[in-house]
Amino acid sequence: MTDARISHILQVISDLSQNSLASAIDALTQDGPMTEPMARWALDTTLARYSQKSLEQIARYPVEEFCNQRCAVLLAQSVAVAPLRAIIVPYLHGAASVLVRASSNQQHFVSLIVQLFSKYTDVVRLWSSGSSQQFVASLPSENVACLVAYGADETLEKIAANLDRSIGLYAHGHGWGTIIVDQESVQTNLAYYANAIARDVAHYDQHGCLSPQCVLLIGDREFSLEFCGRITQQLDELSVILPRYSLSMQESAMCLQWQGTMAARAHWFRRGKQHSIALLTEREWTTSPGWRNIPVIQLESLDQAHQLLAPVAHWLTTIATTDTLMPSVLPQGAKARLVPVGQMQNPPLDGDGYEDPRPCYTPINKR
Amino acid sequence: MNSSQSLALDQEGNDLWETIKEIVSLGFNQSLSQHDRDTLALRIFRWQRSRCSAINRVAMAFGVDDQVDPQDPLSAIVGIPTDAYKTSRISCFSKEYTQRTFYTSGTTKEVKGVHEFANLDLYDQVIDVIAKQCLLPREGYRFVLLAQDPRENPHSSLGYMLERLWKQNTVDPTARPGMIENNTIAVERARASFQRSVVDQIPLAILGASFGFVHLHDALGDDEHWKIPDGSVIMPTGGFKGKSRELSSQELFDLIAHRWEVPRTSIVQEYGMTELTSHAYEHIPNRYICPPWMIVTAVDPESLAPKPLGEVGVLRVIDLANIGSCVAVQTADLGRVYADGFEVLGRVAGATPRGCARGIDAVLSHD
Repeated sequence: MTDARISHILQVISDLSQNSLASAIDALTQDGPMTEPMARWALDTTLARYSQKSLEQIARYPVEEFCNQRCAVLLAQSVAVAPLRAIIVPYLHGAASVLVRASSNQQHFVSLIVQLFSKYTDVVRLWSSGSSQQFVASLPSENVACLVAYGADETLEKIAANLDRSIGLYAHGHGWGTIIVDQESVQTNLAYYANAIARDVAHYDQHGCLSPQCVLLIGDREFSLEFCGRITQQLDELSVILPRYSLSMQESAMCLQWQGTMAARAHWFRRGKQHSIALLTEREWTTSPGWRNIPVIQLESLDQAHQLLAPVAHWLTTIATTDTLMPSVLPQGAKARLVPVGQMQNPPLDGDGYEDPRPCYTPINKR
Repeated sequence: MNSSQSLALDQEGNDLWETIKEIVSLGFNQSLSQHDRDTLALRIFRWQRSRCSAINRVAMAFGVDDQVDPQDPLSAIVGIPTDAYKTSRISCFSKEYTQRTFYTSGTTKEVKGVHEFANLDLYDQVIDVIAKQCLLPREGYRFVLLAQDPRENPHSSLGYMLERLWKQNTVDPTARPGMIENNTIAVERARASFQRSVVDQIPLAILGASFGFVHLHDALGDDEHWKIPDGSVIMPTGGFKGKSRELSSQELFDLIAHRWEVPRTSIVQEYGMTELTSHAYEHIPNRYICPPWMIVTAVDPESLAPKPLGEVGVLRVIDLANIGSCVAVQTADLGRVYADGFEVLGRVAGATPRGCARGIDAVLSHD
């Protein structure tokens, strides 16, 4: 069965990258928020991860909760390509059926994926009969054994509280990422690191829970200024290659509030073509409204970074860092995945496809 | 001039202060030309840039330069976002001269915006002049105030303003107009005030926070209503701020109309904020009129260019009386400007970053 399923998945991947490419790009831009260049980039990088070899590797570690079970997948608004993994993983692990409910705001890409799967199998089905609450309530009548749910913490807690006790729950909550780099590493190749950080910020316009909310830079003031200048140059260049989604009035207004506030308090601030960057020297955790608005917090040591992250470590999904810092960068209490800078949007596919290793979201088996 | 005020500002600041006081004293029927008003606004802004580094940093960040189009002085002014008042000191005098500090409202967890005053003479004058023209044109009123007593909350600009309005316009200086004590409604005293006004036919001024009206309404019996005298005025202001259940504007007006049997024209909403000195009142439903020294513009939040009349933008307020902080405040309110005033469409949703809401709470509550 596994070989057949791998074959089906690879055919869907092939369809998305060739015969249905235009439809896929169209679907992603409709689901948004993405420009066409971003949709092309997202498809290229996402599809490239699914190969015979990578799928065989995942299949080598079966997940009991999926194997021969009827599974449901409840999606939330996120990066528009996320549903692909959410559907593939239970299917690969032998689910008897995969019933998918798309986010109300992102239905096009999911519909396309299910439609493509239907050419090869009737295991993957779309549920579009009502709200997410109605979907969860219908699961016992569908004889579902396991629900994979994406959403905010509050949503997932409500689901967990109301879910039929016979149904297992894999919950993927929202979270955020951060970048921690050190001057010693960065100054060996300033251009590379500036470009890598700019890409991590620009990818999906900081929209996903793997995206960086801030950069923690361990270094001196002079270097920090120079490095921020380089990052802003790279972000300006990316505004041409990978333009930002066109913001609504409300989104622009939120960015304006943040930018003015940062400009008033930051040691250095630049408002670029489609981004802004603020160098802060006070050791305070500062968040971002997203949309390529990035605070860079200058620190003196990794210890200071850990202290800053301590209150939010629980919600960290991803830390992008340098080779030098990698062995010791993880703060206490955090279970974030550690990746090289520039690789934040490349989560692993193994197991359930854990991109969220935080302990509160380990699988809840049948209760 | 108060001696503390004269010491707080330099010669230019004191000159500006006297100029604005003279303008305010002339009220609404004065011959201040648009060009003179705008030129004065720019003069104030430039002086403030020299006195407050935060204002100067914001101006530089948003590309305001000294090359001014003489036909459009306002193009060289940028509004300080209201959020900046939470993280930077927006004041043009040394802290030692601060006589009164107002904080924005919000939950105890939220960081509050701060507006400091070295002297409240101009603030008082503005309150009096605008109210006489737009809110309380008659000789005297009975008052019911639905806001915290300034003695309980000395940092509320609304509480201060309402007390001032009462002192300057009451027929009974011995009365206790405040109906919120220790966070509860003094419903018996409120009833007595309504009944007294019905009997002696002295117009009633019921002024306060929108959530205060909701609490009062909920404390009264369903059948309780009063036909208050002609000439009475009811002024709800501000949002509900999580302090009561939320109502739409129409629901609030319906509630008011039911309780006090008044037409919509007797309900006069106020548009103001802690970060300003002046404010605006409705002259027709949802159309606010400014005093001659206040300019409201709907701007594009990306380019900061003014929107044409009738188009939606984010409201920027230029308040010439805001000498001690910043003459230009960039709000997070969407609205439209017309020839006869401006319309407020609502507040931009809070800039909560995408990610775990609980993580945001942890950040916001962590010192």
